[in-house]
Amino acid sequence: MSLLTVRGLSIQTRTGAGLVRDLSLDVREGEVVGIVGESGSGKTMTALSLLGLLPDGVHVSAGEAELSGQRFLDGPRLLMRPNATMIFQNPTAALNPTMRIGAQLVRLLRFLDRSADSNGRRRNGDRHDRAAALLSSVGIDDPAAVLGRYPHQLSGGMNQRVMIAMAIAARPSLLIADEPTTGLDVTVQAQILGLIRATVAEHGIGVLFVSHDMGVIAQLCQRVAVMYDGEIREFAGVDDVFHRPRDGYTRELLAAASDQPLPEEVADGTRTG
Amino acid sequence: MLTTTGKRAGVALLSILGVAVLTFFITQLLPGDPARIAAGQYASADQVAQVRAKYGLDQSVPVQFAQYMADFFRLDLGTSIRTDQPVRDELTSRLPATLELGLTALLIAVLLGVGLGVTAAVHRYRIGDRLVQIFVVLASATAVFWIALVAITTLVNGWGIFNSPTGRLPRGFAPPDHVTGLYVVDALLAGDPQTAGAALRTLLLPALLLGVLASPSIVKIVRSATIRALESDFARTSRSFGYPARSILVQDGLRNSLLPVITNVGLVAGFVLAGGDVIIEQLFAWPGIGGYAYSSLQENDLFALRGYVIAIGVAYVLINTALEFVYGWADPRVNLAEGS
Repeated sequence: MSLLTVRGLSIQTRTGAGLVRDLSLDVREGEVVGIVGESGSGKTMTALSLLGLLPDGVHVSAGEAELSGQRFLDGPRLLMRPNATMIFQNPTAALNPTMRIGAQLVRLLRFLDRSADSNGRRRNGDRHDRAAALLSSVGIDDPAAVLGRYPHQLSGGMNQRVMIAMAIAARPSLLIADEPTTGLDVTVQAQILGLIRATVAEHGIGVLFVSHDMGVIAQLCQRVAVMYDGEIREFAGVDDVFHRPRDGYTRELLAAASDQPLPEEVADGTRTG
Repeated sequence: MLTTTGKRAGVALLSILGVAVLTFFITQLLPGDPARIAAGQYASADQVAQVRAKYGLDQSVPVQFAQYMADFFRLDLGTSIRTDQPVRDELTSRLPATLELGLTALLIAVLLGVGLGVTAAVHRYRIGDRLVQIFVVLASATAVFWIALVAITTLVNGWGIFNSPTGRLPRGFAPPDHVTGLYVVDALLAGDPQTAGAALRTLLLPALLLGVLASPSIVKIVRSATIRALESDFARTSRSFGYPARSILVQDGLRNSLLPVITNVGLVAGFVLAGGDVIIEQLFAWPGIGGYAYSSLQENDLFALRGYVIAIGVAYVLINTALEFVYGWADPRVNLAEGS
């Protein structure tokens, strides 16, 4: 059953330049759908627009979206929060540098408790325990120590685990991941991808996974949308896109990825093209 | 932490020593002959030489310097030529007046600066932001002495909102018992709200003028730092969870724009205590060290001037040393133990 449906999404700058044109895609429950494309193709803008996170001067000019059958017409924000959450590129910068990890998790849990039900006023000590449990669930061995740290004292991979823990804590039905492993080293990248896969299996949520890395897409996604210059050139199953590309640009992209294999792709053994 | 504190204290002491040395040589460069002015317009050459000898100004510069540093280490700032009183006693008796004015002005500058800066950041590139920018330009471009005279003419003489600029209390009020040296606080401690009110109505106008004129740099820094924080990745994370705007403004915006603000408060404290303060104290007949410096400069009172510069230098070093500890609290990324 279709979880997320986006139809006719267009994103413009204030001056009227189109960044994304007439984009349509869908994500099913328990499915990972990739968006792949080069820098500036509009894939990140697409992801940000779904949660109303577009930067100043950029706005959604047309389109509609549906999540779990609920419809959200055009507007600054397409999807309701927090039933859709997001993890970002550069996890260390995505966490508040002046708050301990524990404080950030407690802040989120307090907010979620309040929006869930007004009579469920729980104590912060209880939230601290739940925060520790959340960190264990994303494979952090020593949650008590991590809760007391600041983001700059942790590695990028550790911070991304924290981000994933926060994203799961909201119990979303859709997770949007914007290049979550770019900039992490190979073994950590593999761990994070494994964690995302496990999360999908455990919670049955859908994932919209934005990346420029064909290898990662091939490893993780069931279907993939190839974007170029603000448009989807091809949207099909991963096998079809990689082995029987119908679009000229997809073929070029695959050729570029296999011509000059990046060292980490080879070491990771994730390259498929 | 203890070694850090020790290191900071050492650096502060070295800075104060540097201030003392620099003060001596810079005051050497002042034009005019202090002895000539002290002896009077019609004094003979003999009389001038006598005065010169009395203050040790006939010695060579190295000897004068040695004497000066020896006195400095004994916390002796010399004797004022103008008033014939020990400079240190004159400064310490006038310091509370300056602190009362300066700290009130600093408080006003910080409240105004943070308030307007945050307003501008929230309404960035829109009308609210423009209005704040206009305030910044006007406040930075206004001369202290002009706006002070206009304010006295309208707010005091015209509408009588504030008391006359004749010192710390209007005529007919006795100063409260000395506890902190701050009249408003002392009067309240003595249970005399009438005197406290009168002192406040006298204090507020010069403090407002100083505070408003000192605020633009804080406004600018708070605005740009808060905009940077609100457009940061971590603020975007908060928005992705749908946190309320106020929570994002306070915890992501303000909390992360504190560091540059604290740095700037150190600079503004310098302006409030030494820069704008000298002129304001003179115009409002405020019996603080700024007015003292003004009179001393007019009469080329070498020792009083040196004492004043050293006092301001010490205050500046103390403020900035204190702020360095505040940094560590405001931003966990600043590690004092590892820093320079």
